[in-house]
Amino acid sequence: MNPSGYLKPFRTFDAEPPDLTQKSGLVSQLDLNQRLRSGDPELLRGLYTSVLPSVKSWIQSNSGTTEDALDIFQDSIEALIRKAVASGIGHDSNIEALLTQICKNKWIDKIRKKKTEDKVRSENPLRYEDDYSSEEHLIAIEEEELRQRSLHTSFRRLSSTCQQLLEMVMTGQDVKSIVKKLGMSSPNTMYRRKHACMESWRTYLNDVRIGS
Amino acid sequence: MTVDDQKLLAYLDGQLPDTEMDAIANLAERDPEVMSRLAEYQDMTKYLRDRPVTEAALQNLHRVHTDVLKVESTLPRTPTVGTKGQMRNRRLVLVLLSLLALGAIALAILYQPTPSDESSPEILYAAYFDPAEISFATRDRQTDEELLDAAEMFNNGQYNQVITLLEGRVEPKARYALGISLLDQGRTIQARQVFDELRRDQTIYSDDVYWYTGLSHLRDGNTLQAITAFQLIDRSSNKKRAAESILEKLSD
Repeated sequence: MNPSGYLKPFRTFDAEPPDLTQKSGLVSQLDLNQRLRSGDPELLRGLYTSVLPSVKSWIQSNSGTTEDALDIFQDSIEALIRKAVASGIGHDSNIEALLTQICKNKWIDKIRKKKTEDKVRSENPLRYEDDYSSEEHLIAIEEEELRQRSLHTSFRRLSSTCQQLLEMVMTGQDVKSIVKKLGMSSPNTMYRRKHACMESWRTYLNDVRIGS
Repeated sequence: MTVDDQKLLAYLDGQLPDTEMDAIANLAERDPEVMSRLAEYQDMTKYLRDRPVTEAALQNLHRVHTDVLKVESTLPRTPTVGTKGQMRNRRLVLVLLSLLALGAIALAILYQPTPSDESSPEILYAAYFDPAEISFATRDRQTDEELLDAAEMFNNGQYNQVITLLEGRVEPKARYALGISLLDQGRTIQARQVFDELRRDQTIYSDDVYWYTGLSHLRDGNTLQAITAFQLIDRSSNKKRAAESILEKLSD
């Protein structure tokens, strides 16, 4: 039995970890954020080719299947994209190492959910133990994901008219056309309604945050 | 000095006179709570502005992922080696699994298909819950400030505040607005109690009441009760068409 008394430690990679002494060979850091923001298919395919095999093998070695690995991998790239769009990914980050670590943390979290509270406590130190990339970036990405999920969930609780109105306003549609499309009496009504919708959204957002 | 959210939002929209804009900017510098509310609203605004970019990028990710899945599905699985006995057992398991699969197919043919996500009751509720604006007409001499405020809030979608204002009111229209607001807030049982009272009192809202009762059942995931309520809506009602559309989707 291992020192924790409950769990076997996760197996580490058989293959050599990515070389952190160099910046990613896949993309130049300068345009990494831009390419992630646009969902550049060449970059995404490159990541699937260079990172997925090792992630897949690690997840399979830790009670997962190929399908699990593919799901986790897609979720992790999505998290990277969301972070790049929201505030960018740090220029000193190695994209492959960062992605690998996000995948591992996501898988650990998923497994953790299946286990009892005692086992969870014993497993906690396993997060970030293979720290190939900056922990700071990882935390920022996880926080961004959580933030976006709260915004998304609370936004979806608004009435369809509110959602439609806010989307139209925020994407810069002309006030007159919004008023016409939504059958409102005047721009003033539209602004009043918009403000009310934003207030409701903020209330829901706080509810979601308290709930989580 | 306190500042309400309406003013903060007007500030963010640049809709206030210069003096008020300056006053709020100064207040935000001094008061962390105001600054935090402003930051929250800016965060929400940014989320919506970024959404089209994020969605486009995620669509690309979805396409690449689908391509990878296709390739993965063609890859051979690593064969496992076993003894003759194990191989026989595996064949037996395969035969049993095939029989089970055939049984499942037969059941699927015999029974109605389960509704898709698009016609799930909760999603239909979200798609159809969109109350029309109300007003408490001034020709009604009983109209008071509280009702006017309630109508304004109702029309702005601030249903939680409408509930506070209208609980205890007896006017049918106020009860009607209260029922809808309770429904929006997920208090479906109370909403249905209000709707039942309105129906018993034979108010002009009867058909609308059936409509919202149906929606409340959808929100609770009770398809059968929802269908019953929608079917009770009179042919001449302006809700009939929407009700028929929901009934059609529920039957899919």
